[in-house]
Amino acid sequence: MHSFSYRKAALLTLLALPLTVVSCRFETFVDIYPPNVIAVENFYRTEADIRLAMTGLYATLRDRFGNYWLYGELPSDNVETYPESEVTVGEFDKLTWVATSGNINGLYQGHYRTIANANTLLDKIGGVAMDQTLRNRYIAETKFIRALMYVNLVRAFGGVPLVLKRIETEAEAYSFLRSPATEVYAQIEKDLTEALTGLPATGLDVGRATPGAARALLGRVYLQQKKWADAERVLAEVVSSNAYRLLPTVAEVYRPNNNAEIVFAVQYQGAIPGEGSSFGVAFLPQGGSGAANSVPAGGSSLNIGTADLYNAHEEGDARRDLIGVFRAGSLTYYYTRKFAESTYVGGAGDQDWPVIRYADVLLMLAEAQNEQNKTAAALPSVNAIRTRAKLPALANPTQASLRLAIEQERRVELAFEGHRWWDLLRYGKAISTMQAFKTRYNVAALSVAETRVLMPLPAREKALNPAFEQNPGY
Amino acid sequence: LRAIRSNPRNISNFIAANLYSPLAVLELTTNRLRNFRLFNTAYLAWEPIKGLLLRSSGGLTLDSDDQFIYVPPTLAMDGNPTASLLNPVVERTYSSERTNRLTDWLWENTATYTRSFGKHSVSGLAGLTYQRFNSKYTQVEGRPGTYNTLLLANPFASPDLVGGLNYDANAFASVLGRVTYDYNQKYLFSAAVRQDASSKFGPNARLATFPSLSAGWRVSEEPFMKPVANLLSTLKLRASYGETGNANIGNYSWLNGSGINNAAYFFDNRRTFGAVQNGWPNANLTWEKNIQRDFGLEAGFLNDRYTLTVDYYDRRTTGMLFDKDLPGVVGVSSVIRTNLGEVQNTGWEFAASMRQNLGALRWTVDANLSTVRSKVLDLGGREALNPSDAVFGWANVYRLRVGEPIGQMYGYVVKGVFRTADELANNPKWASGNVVGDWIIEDTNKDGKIDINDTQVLGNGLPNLLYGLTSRFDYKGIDFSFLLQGVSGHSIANGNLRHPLAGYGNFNAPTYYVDNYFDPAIPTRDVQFPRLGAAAAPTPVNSLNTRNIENGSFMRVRNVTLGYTLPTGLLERVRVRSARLYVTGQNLLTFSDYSGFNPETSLFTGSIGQPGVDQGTYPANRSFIVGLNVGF
Repeated sequence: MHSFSYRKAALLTLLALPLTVVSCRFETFVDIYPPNVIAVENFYRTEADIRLAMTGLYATLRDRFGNYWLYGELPSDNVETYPESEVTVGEFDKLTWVATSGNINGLYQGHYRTIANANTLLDKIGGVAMDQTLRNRYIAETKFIRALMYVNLVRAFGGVPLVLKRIETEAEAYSFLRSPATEVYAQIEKDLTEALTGLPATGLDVGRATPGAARALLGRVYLQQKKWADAERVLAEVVSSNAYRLLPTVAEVYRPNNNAEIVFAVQYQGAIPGEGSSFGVAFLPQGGSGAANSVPAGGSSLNIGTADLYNAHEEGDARRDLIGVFRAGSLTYYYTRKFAESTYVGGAGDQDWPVIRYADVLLMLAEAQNEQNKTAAALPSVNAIRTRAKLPALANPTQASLRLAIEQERRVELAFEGHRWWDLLRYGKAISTMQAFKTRYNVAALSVAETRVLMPLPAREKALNPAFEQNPGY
Repeated sequence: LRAIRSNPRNISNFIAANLYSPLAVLELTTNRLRNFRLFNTAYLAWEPIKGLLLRSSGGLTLDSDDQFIYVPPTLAMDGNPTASLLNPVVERTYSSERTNRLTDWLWENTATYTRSFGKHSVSGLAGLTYQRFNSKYTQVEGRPGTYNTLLLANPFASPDLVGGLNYDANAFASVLGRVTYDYNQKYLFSAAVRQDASSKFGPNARLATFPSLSAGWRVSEEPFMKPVANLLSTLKLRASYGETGNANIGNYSWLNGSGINNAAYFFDNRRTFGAVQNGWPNANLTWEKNIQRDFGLEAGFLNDRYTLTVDYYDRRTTGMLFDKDLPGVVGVSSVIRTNLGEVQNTGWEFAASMRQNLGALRWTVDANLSTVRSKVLDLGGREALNPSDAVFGWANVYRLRVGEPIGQMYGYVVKGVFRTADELANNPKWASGNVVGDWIIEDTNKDGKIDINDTQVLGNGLPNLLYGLTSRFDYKGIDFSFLLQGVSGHSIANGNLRHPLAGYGNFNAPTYYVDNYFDPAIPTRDVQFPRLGAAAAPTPVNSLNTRNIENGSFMRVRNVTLGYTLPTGLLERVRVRSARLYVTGQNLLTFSDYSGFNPETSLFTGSIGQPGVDQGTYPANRSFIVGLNVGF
C-alpha cells in the first residue's frame, strides 16, 4: 500500500494521456479547415449544394458574355475601336492579336472556367440524392452551357482541348491537347441533343436554358458546318414551337429584357455590385456628357460602329435610328443605342446580353433553306425582319440575291450583338471583306492576313506544354 | 522641404504638384499599436525507475494587438488633395479599430532512458508533441465617404460602421524517437526518426517521415594514438545523414485560395443564390524536404589549446514549395501551389579556436568561416520558373534556372545616356522607341533592339562566404572582447534608389542626382541618369540595372565590450557576492561599399528565391551600454 499514492496516480494519468492521443491517429489533430472557406472537397454533397452550383454556373456566363463583342464583332467591318482606346482592345479591331495577349488568354481561360464548373457539376450530380426529374433537367442545362462555351471557343480558335470531366490532378491537366474542330463540333451537337431530352418544354424560369435555346444553338452550329438540312430542321422546330415572336419594333427588343423575342440572354442586374453588366460603356464614345451633348457620359469608345455599317443601312431602315451620331473634333462616332441606359457606371448596367434572339433564328432558318435552294420558303422570314424595320418586302429573289439579302439583314439587324465576325467567317468572306475595308477607308494599321481567320492560342499553353499546337501564323 | 543649395537652378524639376507634406502626415495622423503578451511554460517530470525520465511540458503564448488609427479630415493626401487645417473635408476622414488576438500552445511529451553496461552506453528517447496556433483579426471602421463629424476622433465619426474579420490557424503534431549507442566513448552512433504532420499541407499528404543517422569515431581514444596524445589531444571523425522538413509557408497554403464562393444569378428576374468553385486546392501539397550529408573532422592540439573543426556539407532541398503555372484547361486557377524541383547547397565550414594563458593574461580567439555554393538541379521538368520581382516595379529580376545558383538577379546594363539625335540613331533602341535623354542599354543578344531578352545576370543575392571572429582578453578582473562578422560575394538590389532617382518630384533625391541627370537645357553634360519622369524604356524606376545594383559585402564590428570585475575581498565587506562594471558598444563600425543604410538586408525573408533586396531596411543601431552587474 505504501507504493501507491494519489500523486503518483495523477502523474501516471497525465503522462499516459499523450499515448491515448497517439492511439487515435494523431494526424487528425492537424485536420483543420478555415471557418471562412467552404472547401471544394466538402461541397457538391447535397441537393442544396447542387442547386447552388447550378445557379453559380449560370452566373459565370456574366463574365463570358460581358465582353463577347470583343471576339464576336470588333474584328469585323461593323465596329471599331477609337484611337483613345486602341491600347486595350486595338488588337481585336486591327487584327493584330498575338499569342501573348492578355485578352486572348482571358477568353481561353475564362471559358474553361465555366467548363470546369460545368464538368464538376456533371461529375458530382450523379452521386447526390435528389429528385430525378430535377437531376435530369440540371444535367441538360449544364450540357447546354458547356456546349455554348465550346461554340465560342471553336469559332475563335478552331480545335481546342475537349475537357469533359473534372480535372483532378496536375498531370491530368497536361494531358489535354487540342482536338480537331470537327470533334469539338460533334461534342457540341451531342451535348445539345442530350440537353433536349432533359429540358421540359414549359415551366422553366426565365433566364434558364430552354429547348428553344438548345435548338437555336444547335441550328447555329449546324449552319456553321454547312449542315443545311439539319439546321433547317431544328430551327423550324423553334419557329413551330410558337414560343417566340418578333416584337412590333426593333427598339423594343432591348427593353425591357426577357421579352418574347429573347431565346437566351445572360441576365444582369445593375443594382447589385458585381452582378451588373459593363458592356454598355464600351459601346459609347468618350466625351459624352449626358444632357449637354445628348450622349450619355462614361463611355470608353471601345466598340463604336463604323461609317461602313452606318452607310450599309438602306434608306428608311428603322434600325439606323438605333445608331447615334456624335461628332467630336475630327472624329465621328456611330454609337449604338441598343444597350442605352440612363446612367453608365462600369459593372452596374441592367442590360442583358442577348445570346440568341428570334430575329437571329429566323435569319438562320432562311439561310439554311436558301442554301438548299428553298428560296421561296426562305423569303417570308427575311421579309418579316425587313417589314418590321419599315423596309419594303423583297419579291422574287434568286438564291444568290437572297443570300446577299440575308447577309445584309444579319449585318444591320444583329449589329453590335457579337455576330458579324462569325458570320463573315461562315460566308468565307472575312479576309476579303476586311481587305476591302482596309483599302476603302485607308486603315493602314489593319493587319489583314489569311491566318487571321483563327485567333492564336495563348502562348503560355505552348510554353507549359511544348506538345500543344499553335494555329498557323502565330 | 527644398534642398538649400548655392545654385538652385532647376530645383522646380524636383518638386511635383502632388507633393503632400510628410510632416503633416506625422503630426496629424494617429496610429497607435498596443501589444499584450503573456507567455507561460510548465512541466511535470518523473523518474519511475532509474534511468527512465518521463517528462511532459506545456507552453502557452497569448498575444493581443490593439491598433487604433485616425486620419483627420484636415490631412492633405492622395485621397483628399484639397484638405487643410482650414478646410477639413469631413467625409474623407478615416478611422479604424483593429484587434488581432492569437494563441499558440505547445505540448511536448518525452520519455528518455539512459543506461551504461560496462563500456557500452545506450540512450533512447521517444516523444510526442502537439502545437496549435489560432488567431482572430477583427476590424471596425466607418464606411469610406460617410464620415460626418469632426467632433469624434474615432470610427463613430461615421454613422455607418463596417468591418473585417479573419481567422487563421495551424497545427503540428509529431512523434519522434532516437537511440544512441557508444562504446567506450570511442565509437558513437545515433539514429533518429520523426513523423511530422501539419495542417498547412494537403489532406492527402500532411504526414512525412524524416530519418537521420550519424556515426563518429574518436580516433584519439585509440591506443595507437597514445604516442602523439600530447600533440594531438583530440581527433574525431564523423559523418551524418539527416532529413528535415520545411513547413515555412502560409497557413492553409494547400487550399491555394480555393473555395466555393457566392455567385448569384437572376431567374424570373429574381435574385437566386448560387455558388462557384474558385481556385484549385492541392490536396497532395506536402513538406519540403532537406536532405543533408555532412562529413566532419574535429581536432584538438596541445591539450585542446588549439582546436580546428572542418565540415563539408551537401544539402539537397527537394519538393520545394512553389506556385507553378497550370494549363488553361483547369479554368478555375492558373497556378497550383506545389512541391517541385531540387536545389543543392554545398560548402565547407571551418571553425578554429585558441586559448592562451600568458601569465595573468588569458586570451581566447574563436573564428569561423563557411562557404556556400548553390545550384538548381531540377525544376519539375522545366528549365526555369516564372521570374519574380525584386521590388515592386522591378519585375522579372529573379529567375530560377536549372544549372544556375539560387538568387541570380537579371537586369539591364546601362552604357550611358542618349545625348544627341546621332547617338539615338546609332544605338539599338527600346521596342517602343527611345528619345534623347533615355538610357543607352547594352544589346546583349545583338539583335539590334532592346527588350527583356537583353537582361543579363547583374549579380547574385546570396553571399558565398560568411565569417565571424570573436576574441576575449582577461587580465586581473579586466575583460575585453570583440566580435566581428562579415559576409561577401553577393549583390544587393538597392530598392531605396528606385524613387529617389526617378525625377518624379515627389521623393527626396540624393544630392549627387541634381547634377547627374539628363537635362535638355544642358545636353552636353556627362550624366549617369536619364531624363526626368516616366518612360517605357528602362529607367531607375521600372528596372533593375547596373545603376541600382551594388556590392553587398560587408564586415561589421558587431560588439566591443570592456569590463571590470571588482575583487571579491572588497565586496564581502558590503555583503555583495559579485559586481562587474562594463561598457559595451554594438555595431560600432561597418566596412562596406554599399550606399544604403544597412547591407544586412532581405525584403523577402520567406523566399529563398529572392535574396538580397533592400527596400528600406532599418539601419543597424549603434548603441553604447554602460552597466553594472551586482550579485547578492
